[in-house]
Formats: sequence, structure tokens, C-alpha cells
Amino acid sequence: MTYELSLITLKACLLAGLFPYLLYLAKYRNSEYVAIVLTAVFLSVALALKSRTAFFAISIIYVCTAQRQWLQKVRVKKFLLLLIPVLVFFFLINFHSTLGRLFIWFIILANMQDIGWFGVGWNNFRIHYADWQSHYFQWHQQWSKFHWIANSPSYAFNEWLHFGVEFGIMALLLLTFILALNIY
Amino acid sequence: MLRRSATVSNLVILFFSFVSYPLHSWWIVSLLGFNHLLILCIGSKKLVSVPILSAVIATILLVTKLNSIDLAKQVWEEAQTIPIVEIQTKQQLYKKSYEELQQNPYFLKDYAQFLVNEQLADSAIYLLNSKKGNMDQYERNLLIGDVYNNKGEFKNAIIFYQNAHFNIPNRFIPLYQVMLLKWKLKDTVAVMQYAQQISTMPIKVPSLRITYIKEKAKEIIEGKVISL
Repeated sequence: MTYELSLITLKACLLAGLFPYLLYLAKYRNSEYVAIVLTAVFLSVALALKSRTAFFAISIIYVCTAQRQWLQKVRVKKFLLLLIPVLVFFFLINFHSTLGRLFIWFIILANMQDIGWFGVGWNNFRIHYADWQSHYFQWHQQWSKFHWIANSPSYAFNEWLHFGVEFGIMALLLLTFILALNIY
Repeated sequence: MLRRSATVSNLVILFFSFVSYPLHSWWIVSLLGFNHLLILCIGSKKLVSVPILSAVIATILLVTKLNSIDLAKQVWEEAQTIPIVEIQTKQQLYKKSYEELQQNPYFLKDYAQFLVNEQLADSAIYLLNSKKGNMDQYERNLLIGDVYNNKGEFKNAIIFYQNAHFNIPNRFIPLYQVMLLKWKLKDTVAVMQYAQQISTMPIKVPSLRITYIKEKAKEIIEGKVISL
């Protein structure tokens, strides 16, 4: 757990997480103009931070809250058809980063049998992941795209997998429960 | 409307949690907690002050903690600028900032690097083992390799350099170190194998050091090198 905000991804998440409240304030004052300006500012900051997730999240929030009338006119199918090419674009825009994450997830999923019910223990992700990745490269020495993108990550870039590795399936269920509280 | 904003904020964090690590930040966990408290208290006008008050307290606590981390970082920066001859002062400053920064992998790497350079092998190994979970495993293997290398235990050093190579196979330093140690152990077949591997490996981030390593490997293959 970190107290610092120096990491770009955390800044971006905080930015996108606070955006709905500011949009709420704009709506509360019934000011469409303020909402547009706010969205433009937040999108610019997300672009400056080079955070695809924040950019995507802010855009979707704006469309779903400030432009509800437009959304009601467009059918769900059409909206999803619009969304797919956007998602593909975001996937391709920084391909190495995406591939790096997919590789991390692949390594974790390939070693699920080592995790067990209660995981490998708190703060042990780095150690175990490094072992798994080393093992993979010992068996796959022929140079590939994965050799090129490999790094020594501190996180799984997916909280569900990360918590699953460190605390096991029980903790995963607990995390799912906490986040599912949104739905009630 | 306010309840919807809190829910949307939580959904954003949920969305981030699929591709990033937002739940590893106290700031974002605090926002998540605030959103949940707000959703729970939104029905009662009196209770709305509870999440707001909690948010204020959480922010004060986090800012206080952040300030003490910043102070420790200043001490660390001071330690980095002190000349190498003043070992005692340098070590004292590292120890002073250790308490706040013991989870920071960059600090741990720098501190361990200092201990390795000053031939304080036991302290370095103790730090590298006690903070294993907080360190970058590639850097850790490389530093342990350096400790054994300094002590003249070349076979042990090779094991750790090879571990570092398999941690991140696109880095040149571990391979070069293994090649140098194989040269010291007069294992010419292995030296040639590592030289071939280095010369054919693509460069990810160009640097003068890598150019030098590549040139050395090329010279070995061509039989121009007498000593390394």
C-alpha cells in the first residue's frame, strides 16, 4: 500500500474517481456549459497523464450522465457497436503496455496451482511472480515478443488477480463482496 | 443524484482495478470508503456529515503521512549527495530515512547498492533478505550477485546473475557479468556462448554501456580480446 501519489495510474484513477462529483455539482447548478468545460479539462489532464483508462472512463461518465437524452435516442446495440472500435483503438494505442499486462496475467493464470486457498501471503507477490516469470523464460529461451516486453512488476495490473495471488480465493470472494455493494 | 455520483465513482475505481492497481493506494481506498459511507448515509440528512467528516480526517492523516515521507526523501537525497569518503555520515542518513522509506523499492535498491559498494557484505545481504518482498527481484538478484562477486565467490555470483537474467531476459548487465566471471574461471566455451548471446540480443533501450558490452562481445567472438 502506498501513501504517495507520484504514480501516474493512481493520479489518473483519483482524477476519474472525483469526476462524477464535480459533474454532479455542475448538474446541481444546472449549468451545461460548466459540465462541458469540466469534461474538457479532465480529458486534457487524462491525456497529459497518458492514461487510456481515465480518458475512457471520463468520456463514458460524461456521455452516460450529462448526455442521457442523446443516449436514450441511440439504441443499446448502436452504442455498443460504437464502443467496440473505441476499445480496440485504446488497446492498440499503446500496444506494448497492453501486451505486457496480458503477459503478466498469462503468467499468473498459468501458475494458479501454486496459489492455493489462502494465497502466497501479503507482500509476497513480487517474489512469487519473479519466480514464475523466470521459470517461464528458462523453458522458453527462444527470443520472442515476451522477452522484449518482460519487466519485473510489483503489481499484477489487475487487483482481482493480485489479491487472488496474495490472499487466495477467500480474499477474492471478500473483495468481490465489497465491490458488489455498489449494486444494491 | 449524489448517490449516483458515489456509485459511478466506485464503478470507476472498479474499472481501474481490472487493468491497474488502485486498491494499493490509501488515497483511492479512502475515496472508495467515502463513497460507500455516503451511499449508506444518504437517506438521513443528519448522517451525511459522517462521510464528509471521515473524508476530512482521512485527508489530514494522509497529508501528514505524506509530509513525513517527503522529509525522509529529503534526507535520502542528502545521503546521495554526500561524497563517498564520508561513509559514516552517509550511512547515518540512510538509516535515518530507512524507517519511512523501507517499503520504497528505489530507496532499498540505492541503500543496498551503497552497502555493496562499501564492501559491507553482511549488512547488504541482511537488507536484501529482510526486505525481499519490497524489492525489485531483478535488482535484488543483481545486487546479491555483486556481493558474492566482491567476496570472490564467483560460482555463487553466477547463480544470482543468471537468476537476474531470467527475471528480465532483455537486460544486458547480468549476461555481461556472467561472461566476465566465466572468463575469470577460464571457461572459454561458456564465454563464447555468452558473447554470442549478447551480440545477437536486440537492444531495447540504447545506452553507452550497452554499446560497450556489445563491442566487447564482438571482440571476443572475433578473438581480439586478451583480457577483460
